[in-house]
Amino acid sequence: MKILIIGHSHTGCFAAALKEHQNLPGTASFKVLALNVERFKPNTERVTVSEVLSKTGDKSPLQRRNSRAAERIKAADSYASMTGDSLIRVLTPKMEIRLANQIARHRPDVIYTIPKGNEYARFSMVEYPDPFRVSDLDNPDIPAPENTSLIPASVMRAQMRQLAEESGLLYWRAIREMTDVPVVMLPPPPAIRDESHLRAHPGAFKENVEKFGLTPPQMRRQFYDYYADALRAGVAEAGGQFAELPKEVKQDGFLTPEFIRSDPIHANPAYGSLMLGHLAQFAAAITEQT
Amino acid sequence: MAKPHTPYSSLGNHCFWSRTHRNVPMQDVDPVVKGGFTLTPDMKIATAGSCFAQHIARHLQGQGYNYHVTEKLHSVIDPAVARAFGYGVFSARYGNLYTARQLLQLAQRAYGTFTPKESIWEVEGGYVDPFRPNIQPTPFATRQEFDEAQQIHFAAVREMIETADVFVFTFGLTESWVSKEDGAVFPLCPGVAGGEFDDNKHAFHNFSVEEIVSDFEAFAALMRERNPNVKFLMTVSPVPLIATAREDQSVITATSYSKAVLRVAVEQLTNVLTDAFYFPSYEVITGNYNRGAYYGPDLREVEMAGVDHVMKLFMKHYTDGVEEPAAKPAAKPKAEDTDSFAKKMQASLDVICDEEMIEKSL
Repeated sequence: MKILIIGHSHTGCFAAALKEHQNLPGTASFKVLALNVERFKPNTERVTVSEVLSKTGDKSPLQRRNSRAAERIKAADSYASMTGDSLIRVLTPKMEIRLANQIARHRPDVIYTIPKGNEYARFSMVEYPDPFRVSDLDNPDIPAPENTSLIPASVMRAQMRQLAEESGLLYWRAIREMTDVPVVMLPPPPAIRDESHLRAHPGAFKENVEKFGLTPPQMRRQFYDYYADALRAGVAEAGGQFAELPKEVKQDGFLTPEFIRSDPIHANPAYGSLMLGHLAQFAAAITEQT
Repeated sequence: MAKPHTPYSSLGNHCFWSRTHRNVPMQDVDPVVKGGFTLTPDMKIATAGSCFAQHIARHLQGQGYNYHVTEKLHSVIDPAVARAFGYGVFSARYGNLYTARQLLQLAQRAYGTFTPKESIWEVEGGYVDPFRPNIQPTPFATRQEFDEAQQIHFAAVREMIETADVFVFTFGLTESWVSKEDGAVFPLCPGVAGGEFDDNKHAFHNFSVEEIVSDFEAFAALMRERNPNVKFLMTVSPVPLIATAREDQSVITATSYSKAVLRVAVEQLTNVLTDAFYFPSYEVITGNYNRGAYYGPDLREVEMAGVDHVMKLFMKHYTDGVEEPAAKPAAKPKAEDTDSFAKKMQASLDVICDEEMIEKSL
């Protein structure tokens, strides 16, 4: 079975695992298509709602892209208050063509998408200068600094859904339209709990971690959950498939320490290895069903 | 022979039907005559009322005036998401306040002097506030979230009442639904956007001129007790009723009656209240000089051209200079499959009129 994994930086652990382990379990063969490389850039562009609505149809990649965006505008609560001048994120027409060409070239039996997937962390990795917390009964005891704004959980969930629509779901919906094979959404690796690790490997967050400090770990987990829930909900509403992560990669809802890479957000090749086995099993199950 | 002198002889052109319209391009017809005061950029302008008040709020924001929003969301939330949850639509997150009684009761609830018996509706997926049932696309998930949001809301209403320099209120309807138990007024008939209609608990009420004047006077007194210098600017919504609950009346005559009552009430209020003025956006939109051009295809939604005309006059008479409206209508879409959505945007931009729920509920 040929499996194609499409995404951005989170495909790195799969590529590294494939490089390290030539002999993978089962008969699946994997290809990784990373979209964060120069030849695919820019992946996306921002266009006005008016522009989207004025060029819909199914005759060209541009029209098809706009038709998807129009559906998204009509469906999502958070877009309800947009005007014609509002900007929304869409794939570039070139990206649409390149993605379709890649899928045709690889001729996979199953596609996994793990596009983007770090955006939620901009809300939850570092304390904001004007800190906020989300009211959420699932996470009632997240410590809060003084003068913290409270954001209703329903608002933050809508925000995460908008984020998912402009990142993970944007690619998943496009790819799904380009092929008849199953296109399965894969969530990013869970959030990292270990503060000492994050301080030692803050990556791009370095300056702000030093200036404003890290958020409590429960908040990082909370936002990861919101984002994964948004992906899951978007996929379910479209009648698609979502691959849940195996229990081994999570410890109390955080990324299991042995799978942490030396950066604040990504998983390591060991995670990639374990996940490849999981993905092969999941793919076998769904192709058997279909 | 000299014409005889009459009381009309010395009146300005604006007093004469023929002279207000003759050779005047439609978009320049000006029934305002004189503004009540001059807005300065530092003045805090608060808004409330029916759907049409949202246009005023949006325009003031767009023109850099100090649109006073006391119920804000953390800036980490995208403005489109915040707006979908009712933030920034009006000065606080109260949704549409169609009647003066609703406005008065909101203030009383915010200060704890009125607590309606029917104060929460439990629905599938959470809880709905009967007094702002469309404030967000999903119900409040938990009772705790509902209660916290209500406390934040009441604090924001109090802040608005105590700190606004100008309070703009658009009178929308006379027809309403009230609780038989304690007179609480609902913005929408229970059952339309939550709750259940119960003949034993809910009654139709059509507010009279006297009631509207009395309610707004009571609100003004409450506000000025805490904020003595606030100025009031009142408008009447030109948007017709989407439905009347009066079985013996056409929605056309019911609309005519409602708007007439509101217009008379506002006129009386300008006479009995100090620093309270009427702005004739109603006449700009409904006036026959425009031959219905300011209404959309459904003859109900107000076109952007009409809003622009209103706001041009507003800027002319209530600010130091005339400013061209900043907002432009969205480009007209061509594709059929997006027509309904695009029409909605073209006609109303993002004005949220929860009255429409009445038709959807049928």
